Amino acid sequence: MIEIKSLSKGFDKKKYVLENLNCKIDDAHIYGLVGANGAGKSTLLRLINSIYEADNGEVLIDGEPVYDNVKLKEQMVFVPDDLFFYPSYSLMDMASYYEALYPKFDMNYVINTANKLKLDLNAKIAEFSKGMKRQCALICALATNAKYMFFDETFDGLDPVMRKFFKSLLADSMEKNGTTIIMTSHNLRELEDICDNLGLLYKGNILFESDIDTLKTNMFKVQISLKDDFNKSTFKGLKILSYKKLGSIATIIIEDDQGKSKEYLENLKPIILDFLPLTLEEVFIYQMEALGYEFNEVI
Amino acid sequence: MNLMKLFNFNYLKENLKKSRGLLLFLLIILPVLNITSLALSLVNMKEPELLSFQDLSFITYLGTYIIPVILAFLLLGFVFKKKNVDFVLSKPISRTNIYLTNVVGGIGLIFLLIVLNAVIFGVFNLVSLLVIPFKLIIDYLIYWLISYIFVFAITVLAITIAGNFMSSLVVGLIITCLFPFFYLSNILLFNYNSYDSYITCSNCQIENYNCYGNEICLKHLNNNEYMFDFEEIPKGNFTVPLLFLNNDDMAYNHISLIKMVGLSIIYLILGYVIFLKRKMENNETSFKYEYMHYIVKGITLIPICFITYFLIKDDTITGYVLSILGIIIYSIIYDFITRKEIYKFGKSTFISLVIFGILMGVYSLVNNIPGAKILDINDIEYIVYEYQDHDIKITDKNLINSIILDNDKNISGVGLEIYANTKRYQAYTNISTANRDLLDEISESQLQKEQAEFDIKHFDYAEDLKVDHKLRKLIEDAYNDANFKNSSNETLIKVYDYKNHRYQELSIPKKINSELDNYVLQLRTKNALKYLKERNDLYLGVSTNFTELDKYVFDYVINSNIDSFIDYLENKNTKLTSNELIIYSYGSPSFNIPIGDATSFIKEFNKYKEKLQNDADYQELVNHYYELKEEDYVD
Repeated sequence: MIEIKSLSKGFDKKKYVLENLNCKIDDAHIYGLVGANGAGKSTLLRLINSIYEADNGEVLIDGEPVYDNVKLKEQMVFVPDDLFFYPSYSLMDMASYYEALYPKFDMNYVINTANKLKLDLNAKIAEFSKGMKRQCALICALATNAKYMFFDETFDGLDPVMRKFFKSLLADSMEKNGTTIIMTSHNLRELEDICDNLGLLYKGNILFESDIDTLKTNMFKVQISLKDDFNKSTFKGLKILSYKKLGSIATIIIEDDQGKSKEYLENLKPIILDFLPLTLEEVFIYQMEALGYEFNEVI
Repeated sequence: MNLMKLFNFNYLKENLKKSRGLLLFLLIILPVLNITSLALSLVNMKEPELLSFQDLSFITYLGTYIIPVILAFLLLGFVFKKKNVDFVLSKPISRTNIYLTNVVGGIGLIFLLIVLNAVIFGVFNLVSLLVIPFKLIIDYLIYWLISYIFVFAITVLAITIAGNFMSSLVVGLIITCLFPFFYLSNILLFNYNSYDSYITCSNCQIENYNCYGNEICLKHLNNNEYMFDFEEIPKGNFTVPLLFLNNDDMAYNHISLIKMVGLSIIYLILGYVIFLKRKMENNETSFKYEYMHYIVKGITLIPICFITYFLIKDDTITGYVLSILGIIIYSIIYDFITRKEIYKFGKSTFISLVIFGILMGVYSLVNNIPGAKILDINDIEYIVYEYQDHDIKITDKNLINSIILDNDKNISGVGLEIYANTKRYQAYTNISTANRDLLDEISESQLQKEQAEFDIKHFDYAEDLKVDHKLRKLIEDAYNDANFKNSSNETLIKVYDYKNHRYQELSIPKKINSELDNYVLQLRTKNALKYLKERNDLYLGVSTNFTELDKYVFDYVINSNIDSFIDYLENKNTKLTSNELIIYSYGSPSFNIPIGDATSFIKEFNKYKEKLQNDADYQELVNHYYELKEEDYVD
């Protein structure tokens, strides 16, 4: 388990990028970290991976402080948003580099995956396209078989087919090795179909976090029309996050048990009753609104 | 504690692999240059030649400024790039591992490089005419290994301190040069007042000392201080990059080495501590804190303002204007290079000008410190007198006092080195004949002592000759001859032994052993003949026993009969003696061939001449000789 305790980091004395951040991430989960540019996502990942040293607080993995802890770092791999490759290196060279440092590194995995993707193992990575470079970095990271994987702007530069492919590889890894994956993005849509937990980083702190299944099953959109005139108070038995009425049709965002809510609404004998799924983005929008934030400010 | 856990050889291997091309270049450049230089020196070399520490060191010394610096940047320079830092520090390797692995790896590569050069010198010693004693190679190895590691340690420290490449170069230069700059500028540039130096003697008095009415001199005289021409010279125990200022040029120097070892350890430990605490988020900018940027820039202004001081010293407006403009331009360029922007122009320039003003004041103050230097004669520990290229240490207090204070000085301009108060001074003084004789006597006795300590069994080199078993045995016998110590004959051969980090020299007298004399003569003649055969641009001379005309036409006559002449020298000139007729070549290298039987040689020469009687060029040469003779006569 990754445990972040009262973590603070500032790049100058006046301003903290992360301030007193607390968070727990269970093993064998894919945790998506979202937030606007400058929210502190990359800084948090760099702190977890011992690139930066925290001003205050600490990051623990399985109860041990992670900073400069080689034993733990053998179980951790980090792919930053700004990728780095040695200028003359091929994918094979990079894989050798990883192999030298990670005890569980699987060279066959690199070779097989590269072959599937038709990546030339011996060509210079510097001559690859942005997407191909990202593929190389992800392949090397996955081949480490690390227990904890950290990806910053994970799919940046990948086309939709590749995104899907790597999402399946990440899911496989989690399933096979019980890997815990933390991935960041400023784009919610990118994470919704792979993450099972999401945290929203805003101004140096986790503003909101939850598991996606709960979010999606307990929050839904309903379009309803009743025979008689109605207003918000008509639905006072439900936990309503948002209520909008246009003509005789109301659109309601409900955070509650879907079965119970359905039963409640059907008892009102509606003319129209449609249950619509929410995108993750919509879930966040309404949650933020409920917390008193403007979503566009946050992400 | 398992020390191996501090290093990660897999990481080192990969870190070296990424720069293998440049590393290979760094590893082979010195050996290639050394091989080239030694091979070139062998061209036209006909006799063995003894190489000195300086001969071996020149190319390696130049590499000091480049190779360890590049090496340190290759190994630890990743800290200057955020992307690279992300990549390296996220891997399962601790900061301690990263630092120690790279430092040990760097030192290992330096070791490999220097050993490679040492092996090359060893091979040249074995297979060529170059004589490079084993102990000299060991000295080379130790000296340059330490020097390279020292520069490497400085660069590593500079890298850990600074946030980008240019700033680390500046910091490296500051660490290397700032202290020597203070020391040297104080001694060499603010200390040029030797004509105003005085020596005092609290328990002695010079009689008849004349000040010729000079008031300052008289004032000093009242204090029992006497004008004495001396000036402090820097102690010759510098570190890189000033090794060339050491005593005896760049010779092996223990104190320099100890300093460099000590400082390297300090720098590496300091670098380690800073590296552990280094805030990686501040990479790519010169320093995290603005004030550090200004402090470092201020330090770099110290030598810059030193130059401007000499521009404004004479209070010229142009000097001031040029200096201020120069400082402003420097300030802008410095900011631009280290921070990649014209950084806070107004504030930055203002600070630079304030530092400029302060430094000008300090320099004026230092330069105006009263010029007279006073040395108490009682503080003199010893003086060094140069005798036959040997430094002779004189510790006899009475003799020292006498040399300095004696009025009866008729031998002028004798150079002495004075050691007093842990400082070293160069003095030029007149000395009396009696003192000179005494100094010579002490020196001679000192040389005799050195001679007695000479390791004759293991000497490295006999002048110009390849030492075979017979020669070694003859030289050893000559040295052990009872007459050797008292013999002061003309030198036959000098032999050298590399001991205590310098060559010890022994002169073998000519007449100590006739067998040795004859054998040396044979060997030299053999060398000379070998050389003679290969040359086609000979210009020969002959020493005595010839008429003026024969001396004049000698070269032409011999060259017209060169094959038979060489045949004569090889096969008929067997009874060699060193004091008979000598054939010698002009130019470099020159050689001598002694002619054992002058009468027979003159007969041979006359035969050659006869063959040329009808030669027009020969006749013209003879006529020209007579014309010259006539002109001389008329004049």
